[in-house]
This record gives sequence, structure tokens and C-alpha cells, in this order.
Amino acid sequence: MLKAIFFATFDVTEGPKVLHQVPTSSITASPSSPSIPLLHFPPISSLLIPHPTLCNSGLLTLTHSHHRILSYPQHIASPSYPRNAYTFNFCLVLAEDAAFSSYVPVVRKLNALFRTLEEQSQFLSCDGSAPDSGKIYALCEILLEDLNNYSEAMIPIDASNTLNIKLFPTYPPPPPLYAHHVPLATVRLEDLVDENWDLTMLRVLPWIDGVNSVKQIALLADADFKLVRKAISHLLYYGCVLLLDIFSFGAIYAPTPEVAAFVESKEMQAECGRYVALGEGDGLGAEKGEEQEEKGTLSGTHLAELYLSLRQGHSVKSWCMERADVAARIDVRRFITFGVIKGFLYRVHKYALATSIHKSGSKRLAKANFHRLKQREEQQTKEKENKTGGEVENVDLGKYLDGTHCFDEMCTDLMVSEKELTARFKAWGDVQIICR
Amino acid sequence: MASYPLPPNPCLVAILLLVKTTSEPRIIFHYPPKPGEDNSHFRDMFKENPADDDSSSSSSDDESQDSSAEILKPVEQKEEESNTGRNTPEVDESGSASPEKSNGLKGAKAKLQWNDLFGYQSSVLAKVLLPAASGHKKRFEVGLNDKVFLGRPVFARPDGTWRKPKKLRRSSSKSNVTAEKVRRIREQDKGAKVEKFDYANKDSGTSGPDTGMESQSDSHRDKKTLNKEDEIENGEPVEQTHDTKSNRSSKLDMLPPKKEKHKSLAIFHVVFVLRPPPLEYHLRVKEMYDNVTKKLSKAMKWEQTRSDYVAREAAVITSLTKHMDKSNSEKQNLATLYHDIISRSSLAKAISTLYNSITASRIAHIDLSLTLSLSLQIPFPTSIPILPNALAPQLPGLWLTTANSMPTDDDVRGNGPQLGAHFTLLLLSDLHSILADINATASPITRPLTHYLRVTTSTKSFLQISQSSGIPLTDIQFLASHLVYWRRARAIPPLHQRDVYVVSPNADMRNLATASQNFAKIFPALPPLPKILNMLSFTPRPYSTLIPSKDHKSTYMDILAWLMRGGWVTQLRTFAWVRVPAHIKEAVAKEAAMNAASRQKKSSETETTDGTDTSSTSSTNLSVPPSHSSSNSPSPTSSTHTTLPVPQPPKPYSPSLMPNPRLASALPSRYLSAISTHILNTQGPDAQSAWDKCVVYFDGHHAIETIPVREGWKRKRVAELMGGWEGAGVLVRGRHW
Repeated sequence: MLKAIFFATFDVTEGPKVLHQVPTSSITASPSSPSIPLLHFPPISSLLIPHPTLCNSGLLTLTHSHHRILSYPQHIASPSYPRNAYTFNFCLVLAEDAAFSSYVPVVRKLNALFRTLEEQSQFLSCDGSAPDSGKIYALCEILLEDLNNYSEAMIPIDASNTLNIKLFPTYPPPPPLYAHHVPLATVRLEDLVDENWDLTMLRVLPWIDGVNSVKQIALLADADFKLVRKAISHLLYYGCVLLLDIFSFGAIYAPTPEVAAFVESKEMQAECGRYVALGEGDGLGAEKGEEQEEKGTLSGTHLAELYLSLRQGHSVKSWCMERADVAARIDVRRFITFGVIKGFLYRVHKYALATSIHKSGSKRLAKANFHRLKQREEQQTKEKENKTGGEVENVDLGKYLDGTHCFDEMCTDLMVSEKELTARFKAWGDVQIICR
Repeated sequence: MASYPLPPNPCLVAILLLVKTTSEPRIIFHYPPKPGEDNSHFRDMFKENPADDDSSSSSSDDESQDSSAEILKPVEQKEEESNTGRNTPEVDESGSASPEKSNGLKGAKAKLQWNDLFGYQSSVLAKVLLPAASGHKKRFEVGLNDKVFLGRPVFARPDGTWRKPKKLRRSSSKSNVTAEKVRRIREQDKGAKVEKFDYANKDSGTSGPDTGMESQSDSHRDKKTLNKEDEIENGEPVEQTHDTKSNRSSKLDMLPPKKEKHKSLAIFHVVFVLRPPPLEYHLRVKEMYDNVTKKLSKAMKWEQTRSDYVAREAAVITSLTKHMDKSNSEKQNLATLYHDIISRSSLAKAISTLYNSITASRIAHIDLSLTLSLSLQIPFPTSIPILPNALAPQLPGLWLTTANSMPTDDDVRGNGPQLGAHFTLLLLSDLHSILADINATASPITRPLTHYLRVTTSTKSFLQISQSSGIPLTDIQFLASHLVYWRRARAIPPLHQRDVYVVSPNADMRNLATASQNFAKIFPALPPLPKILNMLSFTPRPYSTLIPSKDHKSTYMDILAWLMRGGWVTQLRTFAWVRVPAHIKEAVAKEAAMNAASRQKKSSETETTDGTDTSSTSSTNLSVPPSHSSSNSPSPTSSTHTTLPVPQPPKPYSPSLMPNPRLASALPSRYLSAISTHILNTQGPDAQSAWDKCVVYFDGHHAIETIPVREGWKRKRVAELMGGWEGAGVLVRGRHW
């Protein structure tokens, strides 16, 4: 939220001076003025109208009496001016602790535009209007109001110049996206689409359903994997998708400390009850209340107990078998996904580590490779060889065995099932599986 | 949800020292020598390794030659500088530049690094960084493009002195201020803590022990007992070694500070140049200001007041730069110049050490003067309670737990809450190296610290250690906070072989290779690290099941400590909630209905009969009319049909979990007492009294593992009780970290 905008310039007789300010008297107040200025201008004037070497060189910010001033001092040297130079600075005032990064482009654009206007037509220096009046003042006034109310402004300045400004929020860069991540939309993406959207994006969107991994989406949409990844990264950047893991009944999930919030929150339990109910499309049956209950929705307490019974080392499959009566009444995938989305369940990923890699470099590895290949050959002959390219795949496998790649990643990249992956580990030899 | 901690990122680009005497403000020193460029060869050099010296200096020479063409001062600038008064010649040299102006190009090589900082002329920058008088001891923050100049300027008093006149006359601040005097001054200052940097009183709250201020007088004190104030004043693992410095001390102290000259120091301002990422701007700037900038500024002010320290150091630095320029302008190069400055000026050395340590996110131990050492750091969390998801900043290797007991500044000062008595310390490096560090320095807490470190163990709580060793618990807690704050140890729940440990989801798998090698070195003849982690990977079970035999127990506990230290494993702790079964609800409702009926009959007697009927219900329940309570009955499906009328004949009672039994309101506390009665009837009075005691832990936030420790019960008994209650359907357990 902008507190004030002011236009400071170097007056040939008076020195640094605030010429226009919005709101009036926010920076310098005449003794008769009732309001107290936000700042005390004299001590900072030499910074806002600084030494010429500091002008034109970029953003200059400073904090003063709990306010932050963003400025971009401009210095135009020309013999046409008295003292051969004209110095000015449009400054934005914000609260000291406010996020200001989105205002940096504003102050830059504002000063650059007026510099151009000044160079073209001496727009600023020839403006003879009294302080806090005239077109420059009016412009500052509109800018302040529009930015604060609409986060954007379009102000015509003269016949050929318009000031177009919009505030853009700054987001952190999206995390790296892997082939085994499963995007889940947090908004109705189809409502956002327009014809200008990227073609890959349009192909990708229908497949983002919280089930397909990025790789699967690429295959289903028949699009290049790298482009798909880029498209989804864009969605991620704007917070339109979440990332989940690949659900399978062999996967292991366990509660995190956030589960306490679920136990205590009746609302979350009710939401979960609706979400996991079988037969309901997307929780729209919520209003049916009682009816639904009779159909077999679980009580919140029951759900909480179910979540608490998930644990490390215990796959969803064995959990389902333990509680067959309940598992039949809910959508188990949604049950797990709900917990992961809310952050009170986490996926226990499996990692594989070939101990030979760690012991001593490549010799040992080569040896292991040799053994493995031999074993593999035997196995292949035993299994009557129904797979192709076994050796190549095994060489690929080696790079995943340093303990940093989870099973999901390996399965997705190598396009194999977890079962086959474990079989390959057996063939490989000394592979330790670590769950974390 | 809580916000995630961010990985440490000091964003520090340079540290500048700005002083203003009577005339122009000047940046008299900055570190690193070439801010914003690769200074690695300088850093090597300052390790005092003469072998490196030649190569590094020559390379820097080349570089400075390359860039020497860039900047020659504009004419006006030169004039401006030469015009500045030189009424106090020694100090008031216009930095390193003044002698070179006459030399012109000849001296340009050396001078340009002084006069060009981040592409700005040093003198211009100095004016920007010169704060207004209202900025005295306030946060100073100016941004130029992506860089922030952060400082806390300190001004001399209006009369040009640094000390409050009524405290002590100027004349007494002679060079040979004795320790006694220092102490007296400080004690006087305690009364009026306005101007002085005195760390013993509460004004120093922000700067006290954590800055590790230490004066000689303190270390000479005989007091070995740990009274709070001593701890506060000396709470600092690395202290100055006063023996080794006595030589230098006499040398420096004999330098007669020329009073007329030093009087002219009007402002000093240490400016930290940061380049924070835009999204973390406020966080990073605040971190740096609160933990480093402010504390250093306070310490320098204190030392300036006491012994004219900053003015003296400024004189040393300026005279050195001037001297270097004059003597050999040809062979002059930055590397040797910096080497000289840093070896001669303790302030310059402190600044360089500070820069190197803080940029590496380490603790900076700096000796400002002979009497003043301080340690500065930007604290970093030792644990996180939440596992960062794929979208959050990752902090792999950080200990994942909700059992965190990270001391803050307050704790170290002894003002805040202490570390929990049922925690213990996990040392982060081996005992010998910590002891060596502690013994290398003289501090009043050295002896108690050593004593404590010798008896501490990661398997016994502070309380147990206190009982067995005779060290008072509060002392242990203080010493432990101290070690934790200074990153020597971490507070953890005591390790126990019956507790459950799993591979931490936050373990840093990228480190596995190196960790495996280290592990094999420390624990030879044992299964390799991957095997151990593999064993901890599956269904959670007590750690003891991993231990092959009794003889291995201590080794395996060492392994556990090692794994905890590296963040490889975390303890899975059990949390429980009270479950109110349907039959209890029904019984309570029936009772309430009966009471209501009887009340209608004999309205006069209701009060007393109610009380007796509900057996052990507490008296607070009586105020609630029974009919009201039944309508309040929290049914888990209530959100879907809140408008329904009260009676739900066939199956209104479904079990529910009670969020907070300790603060249970009327109806839930009735349930609690009904459960208690139920336990009495089915499991006996022993179980009932245990239940009544334990019920406060069943809120989902207290780990069950703490019950045996807190209540002094046997683990086995607790396990049996829990099993019984869970079997009876009145308890639900879940495990997480």
C-alpha cells in the first residue's frame, strides 16, 4: 500500500525541494498545516537529490522514520538549464516493513518516462504550476489512488504518451519438477484458459487430475516431456497446482505432526468425509447430510482413527487388508490424497543404495556390473527372455543406486513397475533399501 | 501451518568502516578488498601462510592493473577532496587517497580500490552513508540497486566527547585505564543505562552474553560460583586469551592516545553491505541487523567510550594506508596493504574475521581489543517440526522433530524459559575438541562447563544428571543453553533403546556417501551405515531390537547418537487422544436425564443429589443444567445437521475424540469422569489413579514417551496401561516425530 508519492527536484535557489506531493503535506508541511508529515525531508534531501554520479544509476531506497522511500534519481546535464543540469526524483513512500519489490518497476518506469518527456519537451522543467497543482500533481494523485485501489493505472499524459503501470506480485521460483511428480489442480484450470494460451498447455490441462504423473501426462497428451514439464512449472509458479506423489497400493504413508490438527478440526473431518465418500463425484453431495450418512460415510472420529493407524513400513495394501470392512466403504486413493494435500500424511519413499558404489570407486562397480550381467543373462535365459534391452537398462539402473533417487523416480524414468525394479535390485546384488 | 524456516543465507557482500572526524566522512576501511569480486586469493592470504603470499599478491596486482584504467577521479572531485581541511593531520588524512593526488597516475593503482566501491566513488558513497544526526544508534538502511547498506551509526556527544561528563571526567580516560576503573565505570553506568554500553544490565539484553563481551576485570574475578550475573557476562565459549595478548596489550596501551586528535572523531559507522533476494529482503536484513550489526556497533561504542578505541584504530588504519602509499607506490599492491592493515589493526582484523565467518554462516569470534572479545552469529534453527513438502524450501539434514527446545537469546541470558528438565544434550562434535576449545580460553564458566561436559550423556536427562552429579539443575540448564546457542550441542529427549527411531524423512541423502565413509571409520567392524539405515527403515520398533547382544549396547547407543547428530534418524514419538466410546456417552446422557427427572420432582434438593449422583464429577459441572448438556452433545456429524432437534433415539452416540482434556468443558469433563469410573470398575483402582494422572498428556501434543520420565514410572508399566486403555477403547494412539 503506497503511503505517498512525491516529486522532488533541485531548485536553483532553494536547493533540494519537494515540488508536488500526494497526499498534500505528507512530506513537507507548512507550519499552518494541520497534518504531521510522514517524513522529515531536510535530512534526507541530499540523498534523494544526490551527487550526479549516483543519479541515473538505478534504484535508491532509504528508510526514514518508519517509512521506506523508493526513488530513482535522474540527472540531465544540458547547457539549456541554469547550472547546466536538471535533477529530479519521483519517490514512492511505503511503510518500512511492507514488501516493496513490486513497486520497484513502478518507480523505475515513472522516472524513466519523465526523463524522456523532459528530454523531448522539457515537460518537467517548463511546468510552471505552483506546488501541489498542475498536471504533474494530478498525475501523482491518480497514480496513488489507482495503484492502491486497482493495483494498476493507465494515465494519459499528452497526445502521444500514456503511463501504463501494473503491480505484479513476486513469487518464489517454482521448485524443480520431476517426471514422477503428480500435479493436482487447486483451481478450475479450464475456467482460466483462453485462446492465447500455449499449445502444449492446452494439451496438458485435461490430464492434470491428481493421478497422472508428469511423465504420464506427457505420454497421454502426446507432447514433448520437456515442454510438458515447463508448462506445469508455470502452473506451479502461479500456485495453480500442487505436487503429489504417485499413488499405489504398495506405497507407504505415515502421519506427520499436522495430524493433530485433523483430529481437532471437525470441519476438516467433515470435508474429508465428503471427499472420500464412494460414489460422490467431488464432494458435492455434502448437503445431503443425513442420507449420505446412512449410505455409509464414516464419522470424523473414525477417519481420524484410520489416519492414525497408518504407519511407516506398512503399505496401503496391507492396511486395506487389515481393515477390509472400512476400506471397502471409502475411496482409498482419495483418503490418502486428502491427507497428503492437507500435509498431515507424508509418503515414505524408498531409496536404493548399492553399497558397492560407496566402497571403492569404479573397479568394484565394474566387477559388480560384470557379475550382475552374468546373473542377468542367466536369469534371462531362465525367464525365457521376454524383455528387451536388459543390459542397457541395467547400466541405466546403476546411476540411480546412490540413495538419492526414490523408487517412484526410478520406475517412472525406466518405465518399469516396482515389482520389476525390486527384481532387478536382487539381480544387482548388494542393494540396500532405505525408506525415509 | 507454520512457515518453513529458510536455509541460512547471510547475503553479505562487504563490510565498510566509515568515520567522520571534523570534516568529510570517509570510508577508511572495507573488507573484502574488492567488494563484489572474487576475493578468494585474499582470504587465503590472511591465513598467514607466507607460501601463498607471493602468488596471491602478484595475481591481485595484475587485476588491479587491469582495472586501473577505469577510474580516474573527475577533476571536481579531486578539488573537493583536497579542499577538505587537514587541521588534525594524522587522523584527518583524506583516506589513502590524499597523497596520491599529487602522484597522479603513479599511485592510481592502489588508490582506485579504495576509491571505487561497487562502481561508486568512495567519497560519494561515504556521503550517502553518512547518517543524519537523528540516526544516532538507530538502524540505518539505504539501498542502491540490489545492494543494501545496513548500519547502526554512533555519534559523539555534542561536545565532541564520548563519555557522559558526570560519570567520569575526560582526564581519567587515560590510556592506562585500570581494570578496576573499568569495572567502576561500568557499575556506575548501571544506574543510568542511557548512553553506555554496559552489558551487565538489562539494557544489554540484546547484546549481553551472546555478544560474549568480556573484560579483563571479569576474567580476573575470583568468583567461580555461578551466579547469574557472571554467567551472563561471561557466557561465551571462546573467550579471549589474555596471556597470549599481554604483549600486545602493553604495546598498544603505551601508545599515548593524543587526546586532541581523538576528540575529533565525531561519528563511526560500520556498514554491512548485503545483497538479499527480493523475497527475503526483510528477513535477511533484520537477521543481520539484530544479530550482527547492532551488537558490533554496541561493542564498539562501549570500547570507544572506555578507551577511545575506534578513534585509535581509525588512526592506525589511515596512517598505514598513507604510509604504504608514500613509501612504495610502485610496488604497492592491495594484498600486501591488506596484510599490513589487518596485522596492525585489531579492528580491521575483526572486520575481516567477521566477514569471512558470517559469509560462511559460521560463528565469528572476534577480538576487538585486548579487553573485549565477542562472538557473533546469525542463529540457525536446530530442528524443524514440519517436513517441507515439494514446494517448500528444502533443508535436508536438519533434525526433524516436534520435540524442539531451541534456546533463544533470552535463554542464554537466563531470562527466558529454560531448556526442559527432561531434555538432554547431544554434543555435535566430540567431547575432546569441545573441551580443548573451552580450556583454550579463560572464562569463569570454564570450570563448571568442563565439569558438566564430563558428566553429561545423551541418554540421561538434565534432571538425572543433576541428581547424579550434584550440579544444580538451573546451572545445567544454563550451561546447556549456552552450548546449544553456540552450536556445540543440541537439546534432545534422552536417547533410550526402548524408544522407536526411524530414518528421518528429512535426512540428506546426498551426503550418504561421505557419511558412510565416516561411519565406517568411527564404527569399524559393525554393519555399514546403509545397512543400519535399512534396519531402521521398516515397521517402527524399539531400537533395542537392532542391538544384537548386551555387549553391543553401548556401541549401538553411540551409533544412535551419531545418527541423531547427522539428522539421519528421528525419534518416532507416540501421541494419544482420549476416545469417548459410545457406551460412555450413553451412560452420561442417561444419568443426566435421570437427574433432570429427579430435579423436576424435588426441585429443592437437586443441588446435592446431583453432586453425589455424578460420582466423581467436579463441582464445575453442577452449574450446567443437564437438559442443556444433552443438546450440546457433540456428535461428529453435527455439522451436517445442526438444525435437528435434540433427541435422536436409536443411535445418536458415536465415539469421538476429545481435543483438549485438560481444558475440558462441562460435558467432556463428565465423559472423562465417566471413563475414569469405567476404568475403576474394569481395571481396578490402580489403573484409575494412573488414568487420572495421565489424562493431561492425552491431548495429541504430549509424547507418551515423556510420561515415564515425568511421572517416574517404569516404561513397562506405562506400556501396559496404554495397551489396556487402548483395548478398552478409551484411548487412540498415533506416532509421528
